[in-house]
Amino acid sequence: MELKTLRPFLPALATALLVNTVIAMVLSWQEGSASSFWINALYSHCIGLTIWACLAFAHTRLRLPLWLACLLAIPAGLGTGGLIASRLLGISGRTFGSHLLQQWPVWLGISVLALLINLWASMNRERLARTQAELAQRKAEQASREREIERTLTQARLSLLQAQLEPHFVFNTLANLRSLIAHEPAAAQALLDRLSLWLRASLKAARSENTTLGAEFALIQAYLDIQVTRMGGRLAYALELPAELAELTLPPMLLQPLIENAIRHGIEPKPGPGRITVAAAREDGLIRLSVSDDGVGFGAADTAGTGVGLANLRERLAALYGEAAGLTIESPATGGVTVTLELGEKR
Amino acid sequence: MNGPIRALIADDEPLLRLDLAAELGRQWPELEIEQAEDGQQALDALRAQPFAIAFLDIRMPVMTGLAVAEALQAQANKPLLVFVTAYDQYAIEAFERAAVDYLLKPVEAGRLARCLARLRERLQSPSPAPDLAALLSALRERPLQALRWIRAAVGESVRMIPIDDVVYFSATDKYVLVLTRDGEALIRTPLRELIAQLDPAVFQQVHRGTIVNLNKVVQAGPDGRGHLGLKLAGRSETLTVSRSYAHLFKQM
Repeated sequence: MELKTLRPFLPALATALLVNTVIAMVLSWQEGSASSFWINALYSHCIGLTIWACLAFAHTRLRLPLWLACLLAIPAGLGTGGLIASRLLGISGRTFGSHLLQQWPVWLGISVLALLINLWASMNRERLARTQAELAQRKAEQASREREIERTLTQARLSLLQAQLEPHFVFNTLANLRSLIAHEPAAAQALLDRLSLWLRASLKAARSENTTLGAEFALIQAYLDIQVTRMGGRLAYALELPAELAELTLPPMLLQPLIENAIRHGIEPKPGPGRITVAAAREDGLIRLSVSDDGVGFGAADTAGTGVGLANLRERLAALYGEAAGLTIESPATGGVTVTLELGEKR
Repeated sequence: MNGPIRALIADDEPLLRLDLAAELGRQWPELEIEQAEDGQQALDALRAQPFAIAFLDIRMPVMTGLAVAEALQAQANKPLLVFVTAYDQYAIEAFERAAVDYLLKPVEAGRLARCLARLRERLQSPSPAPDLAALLSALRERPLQALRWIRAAVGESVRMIPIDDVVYFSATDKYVLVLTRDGEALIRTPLRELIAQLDPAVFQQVHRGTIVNLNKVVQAGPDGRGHLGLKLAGRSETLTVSRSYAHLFKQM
């Protein structure tokens, strides 16, 4: 065992001085003479401080075990300290020596008691310091974890917005708009309205922490309507949102990347009609959101994406929900792909 | 060239075919236009009859425009190709370098006029076609990216497993097992093909039949049978490290 709080030195010195003073007071009170206090105090301080100095030297410098350091420090301090006090009072060493020889059990007892009190105080200080350090470290760790989550979320939201405004989708939609303006102006207006609605909702979603499931579904509907126009009716969709879940709050744009993937990797590469179903349900306290398509399934190498959209979604889920959210991507034997999001309590 | 000049428009978006056909009708009324809805239809049409020009969308069902162009390489009497894309930075840069014609959607009338002028010129005095073969093979070789998802069989269905969730891969007789914290799945890709697609900083072969995710290694120590064993997060079994890989887990 090592007492590190022999350093810091000042608190240890203060305790020692206090204990020494108390000893002097008790001795004077017992002798019934107030005038002897200064003499007692001088002895008490000289002996006490010398013991403490010897102990500190033996334990922290010579690295002796604590018990051995105490065993050496007490007689050394008692003799040296007592001698110093005697010389200061003009008492000869011989007189002090014979006095000590006569009354050594009392002197020793007082010294041991004082030392024990000092050690006990030291240990307490040490324990307190350790607890405080641990507490500070835990706080720092917590703060850095929170900063990390915050950073992930900000980054994810930015890259989400970027993914959202995917140039291929935007320019294809504009090209469709151009065609409709010339050939079907009314349909062009309808498409433009959907595009504005979707753009506004996307920009808003990228800046806010929460949305409702109802708003999210409205955003998805605008997006899917645009895609239906683009694909010329090749795409059909169904949205299944139970009325009681419409007001549920959740982070924005969790579903959008999944729907983009369903179109890009499922329906677009497939000849002929395709269908997307987006459904929300509450089961066993979990919110289950699913996006299913009847497209080409996995492994159409030509459209194999980089997985950035999904990786981004996973990062956001991990930051927001920790272990309480799950994402499974499955291609059932019947074909197509189903992606299921399970959301528990946000952390 | 005798008879009418024929052009094919291949795009899966009907409104875009309509728009391009209308614009071509305005700018080049003699052109005889046919349409195709996906890559396969386009290829069939181009093989069935001679076309002078083909406008190929890049992203199309069944076959991309690039795949159609590639399939046409061997054909005699090839049409002049114009690729049409909404946005594909990578391909556009390659087209620029190879001086291949391309159009960006929405197709702007002035840009189309310049493109058509070039096509007319080439049809009148045939010049050597750009080296499409080299361009297409360059486009195919996109920078290889480390695998992010494992497509693995779980029961009847196929599931996408994020690569970070994989604790280790273990080869059996016929398959490779993909082990995660909460289960296992099967893939058919042999280990040696798999390892080439994995991030070498994260995945390490530790045995003839095992690749581990180094981020999941909790502890390495003697396994009691004279080998080094690995404990992995979320798995109860201990994996054996063969002697040739043991140095990877010695203390620094």
